[in-house]
Amino acid sequence: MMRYAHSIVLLVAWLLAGGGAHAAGLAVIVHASSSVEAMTREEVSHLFLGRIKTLPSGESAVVLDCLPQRDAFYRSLVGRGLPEINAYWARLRFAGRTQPPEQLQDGRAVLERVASEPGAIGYVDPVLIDRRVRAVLKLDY
Amino acid sequence: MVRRTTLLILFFAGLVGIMVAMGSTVLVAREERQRLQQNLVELMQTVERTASIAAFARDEQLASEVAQGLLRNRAVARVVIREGGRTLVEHGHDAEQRPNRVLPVLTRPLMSPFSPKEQVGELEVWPAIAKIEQDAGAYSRFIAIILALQLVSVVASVAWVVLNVVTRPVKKLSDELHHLRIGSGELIPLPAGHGHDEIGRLTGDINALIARMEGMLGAERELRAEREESERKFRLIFESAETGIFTLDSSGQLHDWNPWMARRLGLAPDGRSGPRSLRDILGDQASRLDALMVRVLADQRPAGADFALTRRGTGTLWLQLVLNPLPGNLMQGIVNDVTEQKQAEAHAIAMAERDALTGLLNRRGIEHRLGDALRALDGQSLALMLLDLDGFKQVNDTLGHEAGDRVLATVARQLESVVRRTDLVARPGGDEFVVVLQSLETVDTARFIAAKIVSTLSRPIDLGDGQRAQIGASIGIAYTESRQDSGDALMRRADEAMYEAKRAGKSQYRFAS
Repeated sequence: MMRYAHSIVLLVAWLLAGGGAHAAGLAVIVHASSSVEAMTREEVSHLFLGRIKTLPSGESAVVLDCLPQRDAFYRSLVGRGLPEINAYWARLRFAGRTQPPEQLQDGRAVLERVASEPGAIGYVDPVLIDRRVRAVLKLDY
Repeated sequence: MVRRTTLLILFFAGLVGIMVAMGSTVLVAREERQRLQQNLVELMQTVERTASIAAFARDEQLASEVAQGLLRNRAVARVVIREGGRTLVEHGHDAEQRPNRVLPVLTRPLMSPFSPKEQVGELEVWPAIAKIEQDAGAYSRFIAIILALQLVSVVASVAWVVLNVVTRPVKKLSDELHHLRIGSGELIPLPAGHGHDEIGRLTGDINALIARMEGMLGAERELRAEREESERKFRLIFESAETGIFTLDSSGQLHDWNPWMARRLGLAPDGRSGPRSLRDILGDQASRLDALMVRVLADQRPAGADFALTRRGTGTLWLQLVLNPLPGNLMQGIVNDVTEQKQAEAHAIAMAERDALTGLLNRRGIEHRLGDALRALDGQSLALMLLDLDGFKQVNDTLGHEAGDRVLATVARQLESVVRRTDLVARPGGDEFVVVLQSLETVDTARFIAAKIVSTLSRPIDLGDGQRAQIGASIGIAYTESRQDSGDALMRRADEAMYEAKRAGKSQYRFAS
């Protein structure tokens, strides 16, 4: 019996430590005041790859990349690695008018920007989500 | 020939060149159009990704960049990039020439860079038809020029080769052959550098032919010389023969004769003055010549005959003619002068018919002449006297044979003096004599002559040395007017009459009954 109890304790501790949350995925978040309740993967990918420049609600979007999770995000969203995404942007940046998302150092910075700026959209570890932001899409990986 | 060969080569090469150039122009132009179109497709593939990105991101600037890039190619007239339903960018001028079936507008779907199944737009490229055609034309012209240059150089090379390797040597050969004097032993020199090719072989064959021809000419020349030599020999034989040689046709015309014949018959030196009639020359013996010719031609075998020609001054010329049949009713003849033989023969015959002691005709002689005389009777008459000496045996016995012979000779002279020259006197044998009186008008002449003989021979004969011989003659006479009588019969009748005269007492004559 003692042995099972020990196991349960370990599992709870792992869950609390957030290891499970890290493995679970990413959440695309917008300002809590936004009228946008949920977005499809396509809408999100078009937004992050510059195809559309406004949120479904109509306000112009400020798209934010989170550097530590960038690879995981695009891999989950469009199935492409960073080299391809970078090459894509390289062309647009060099010759086009379309600008890539603003890149932030970590999830917390993303959270702060989304929370402070209506129209901003970013992706963070779901554990960071608080009441100031709303998750409109959850991505698993 | 040199010029013609070259011109022919140039002409055909030019013809072929023009055809090849025309064909190649069309082909090359088509090739070039296809190549340019393929280039456009490849060009579109090159920019496809960027165009896709531009369409996906709906970035007019990037799209414009792509379009500008494409338009930098001469073959591109116009570029349109569409995104969804709207035109993202449309660059280039309206094509001066609408796209056609040969060069259509090229369209390529633009897929999303992130999901290859999702089409986000399309890329449309209009080919610059005028430029492509111009380029293709220029290229094909360039190819045509290259081909033409190549052809010209090939033709020039071929012409040069033909001229120097074939035509010139053949012309040289032809010139050599033209100026070659057959029979001089000359040969054609082998053209340098053609020892082992067809021209060398041709030269060799021509030389072999020349050599053979010269050999044949030489043989012909030798043969001719031989023939001339033998002809000369034959001519010498013909001309120097001591025999007449001639040819004769069936009408008796002489065609050719040799000098001997000309000399003997008094003809022109050779046959060139025209034929002479042998019949005319033979005169009254022509009919015998005709008979001879008929016999020769009918039997087709040689035959001969003797002819006597009477010539002024030199007497009779005897010719022995032998004719030999030739094809075509002609005859080849040989004529020999047999006058001497004839004379000798006649002399021999005369000698055989004479009595050696008295010089009178002997038995054979009188038989022969009597026959002739009988045959010659023509309304006149002939008397045959057979004469037997009386008392001759006694003369012989008492005075010797020599005296007898002298008596016989004296009687012979006496008989000859009594008769005419045309009459015949003979001594058939012993003390028997025959006298033939020809051309008598009457029997009286015979009687007169007989009486004269009896009286003449009854006179004593002086034998010299004081010796005299007394003989007499008994004569039997056969008288005839008929040529049917034979000499033998006349002799027998005269003989009977002579014995009658003897029985009647000698020294008298009797006529046969």
